[in-house]
Amino acid sequence: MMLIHCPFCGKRSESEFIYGGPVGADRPNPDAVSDAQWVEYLTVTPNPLGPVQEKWWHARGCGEWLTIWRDTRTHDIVEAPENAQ
Amino acid sequence: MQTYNIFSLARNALTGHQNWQKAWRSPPLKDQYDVVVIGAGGHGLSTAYYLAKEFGITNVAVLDRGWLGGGNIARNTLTIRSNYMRDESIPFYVKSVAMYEGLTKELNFNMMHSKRTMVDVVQTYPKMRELRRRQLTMDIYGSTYEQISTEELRRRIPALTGGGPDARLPVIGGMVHTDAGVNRHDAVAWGYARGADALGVEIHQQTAVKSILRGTDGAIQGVETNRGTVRAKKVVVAVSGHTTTLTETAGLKLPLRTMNLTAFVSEPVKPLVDVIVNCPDSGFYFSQSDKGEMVIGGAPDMGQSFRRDIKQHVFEDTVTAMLSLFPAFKKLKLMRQWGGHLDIAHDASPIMSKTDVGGLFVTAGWWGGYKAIPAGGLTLAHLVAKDQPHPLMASFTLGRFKHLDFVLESGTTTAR
Amino acid sequence: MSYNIHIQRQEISALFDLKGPSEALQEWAGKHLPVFPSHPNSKTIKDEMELSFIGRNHWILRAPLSQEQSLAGRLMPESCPSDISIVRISDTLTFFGISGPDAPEVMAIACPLDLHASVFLEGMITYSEVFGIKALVSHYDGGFEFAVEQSFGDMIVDYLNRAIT
Ligand SMILES: Cc1cc2nc3c(=O)[nH]c(=O)nc-3n(C[C@H](O)[C@H](O)[C@H](O)COP(=O)(O)OP(=O)(O)OC[C@H]3O[C@@H](n4cnc5c(N)ncnc54)[C@H](O)[C@@H]3O)c2cc1C
Ligand SMILES: [Zn+2]
Repeated sequence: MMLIHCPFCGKRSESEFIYGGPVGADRPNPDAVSDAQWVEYLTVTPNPLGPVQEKWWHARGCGEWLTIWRDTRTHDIVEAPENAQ
Repeated sequence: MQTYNIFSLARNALTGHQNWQKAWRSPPLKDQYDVVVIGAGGHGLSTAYYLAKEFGITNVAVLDRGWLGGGNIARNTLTIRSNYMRDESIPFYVKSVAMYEGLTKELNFNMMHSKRTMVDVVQTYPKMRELRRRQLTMDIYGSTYEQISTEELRRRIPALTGGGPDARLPVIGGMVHTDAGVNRHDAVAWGYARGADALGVEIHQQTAVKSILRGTDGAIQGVETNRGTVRAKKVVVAVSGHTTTLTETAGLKLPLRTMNLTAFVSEPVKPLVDVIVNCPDSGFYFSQSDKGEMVIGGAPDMGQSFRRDIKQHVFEDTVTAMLSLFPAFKKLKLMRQWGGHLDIAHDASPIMSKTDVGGLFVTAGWWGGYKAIPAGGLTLAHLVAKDQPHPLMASFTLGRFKHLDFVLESGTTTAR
Repeated sequence: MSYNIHIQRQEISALFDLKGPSEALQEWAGKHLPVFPSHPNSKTIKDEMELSFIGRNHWILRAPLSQEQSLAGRLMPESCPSDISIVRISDTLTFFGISGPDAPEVMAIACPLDLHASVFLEGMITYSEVFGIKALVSHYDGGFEFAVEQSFGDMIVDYLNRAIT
């Protein structure tokens, strides 16, 4: 069980949250990118052996959406990597 | 290859089992092959076997960073079935199930195949409608699905005592898939390894691929391993779960996420359940092994994960769901639990494909990919040998993403 | 083992769900309400009215049922400005009071919150789970209270009985 930090409520049990998927690339302007780049935006998400950024929804809590960095090897919630935006 | 039969068994018994040949060789690693297959799991080994057997390509090396058959193939719950949803999927799995049924003969290795039927315990009307819809599509392709009443369901599975009329999700009926079965995963890995080896394929264990090498023209040159460079014009990635880790070394991005799927087993008990029981509305499934253990699986943990154990809340949720339908299982002691990490595309269908990198092939996105090992290997070998997709897998190439022509497959997971 | 607790299913209360920026809410209805609580998951009380701060830009007002009509008349949910929302939700939640020496033990079975009095201070109120169901949990007069969507009420009674016997 993970303790996820909600900006409103503080640290709460993972069971109160619903996983909202990985944080993907920013949505490009569909008119300004090639078909291949658009398809990549739609289908490819980072799949690192290590920290991944993901969205969580405090659904059985205050209702806040938040993002965390979580290490896929350990499930530890970690600091954002240096090079992350 | 020495054959396994009653006479060889008797002969070797007389000599104290000292004279069995090794099931496969351990030759020195060469620096060049026609084809390098990365990953000695079910898919890598079957691909190598059919490359040699069906297409005469025998200068093949299968490389594994661990021991062969020690990956997800050793961690799965062995459910072999073809009750899928899509026109693209069903014929593929029908073929794979049929190949499994003939595999003991094909490989001269006892697969301990037990065609014991899978029974779905249905608790919601939407699920019942979805499964009946599957039934209609499956009928077209010769797979079996049949609806049964709650009474018949309880007759077939006497241990199913929960889910009565007052339950939150009462049992409303069942579906029966008679093609389904289980077999022995070690036999599958060892059988294919032995068969491939006998045809000239080399299997190299403890050989980890660190990166995929491309030439100046961008095409594949080979792989870099912990034992040096191995060259090949064709490289197959069959590493289940680690696909993106490897393909990224060749600058290739794939639409895959790696997730954790888990299982656990009980202590052995007397024969109690003789079918594979699947409870999609509650989110768990199980079968009883020959040893008597209940082999139980649940729903995946949703986030990305490369862990090989089970998360406590996934375990608790699965047990809770199971006890609601099988309250007597409360007395079972649970002995072992584990997980595997598998990659999945968001349409939940596999990817067997050429890639944008010339000579690089992938077989990935195998969520329930144990059942697919025979047909997956055969059709991928076809693609690698002929450069053309086999008709049974033509819909599963990367091309479907280019055209956003997904094969959304609700039949991929057993539970849910 | 059995627990020494007292479970009470409460009478229905008057409830209003308030959403929007606190300034806008205060401007519209501030004079009829307790002071807006400033700490997340805390509440303020005035004239039997409790105002709980349960999410970003989200409050719940609770009062005795007898005040429902007059509150509705003062808060005027139908005509409030578009940047806020006021909805009468009295019928949607069922409250349970859990008191007695073993109340913390039983709540610990039901709810993943850290319920220690030093963490979950008296007077705090927050959404969490009770037996896996979304619930508004508060620490109250030495005991606890929680509210679930009313259709889960009977199921919660069943769960509680199983937990304590
Ligand atoms: C708990 C669980 C239950 C499951 N239940 C079922 C089921 O009931 N039915 C079903 O059909 N499927 C099931 N599956 C899915 C099935 O196990 C997989 O889809 C299938 O085994 C994947 O293919 P594989 O056998 O080739 O993979 P693996 O056995 O994982 O083979 C991949 C191999 O690649 C090797 N490798 C990885 N990286 C490298 C590298 N860099 N260099 C060299 N080698 C490398 C690994 O060591 C491994 O041996 C289940 C999976 C799990 C985890
Ligand atoms: Zn929160």
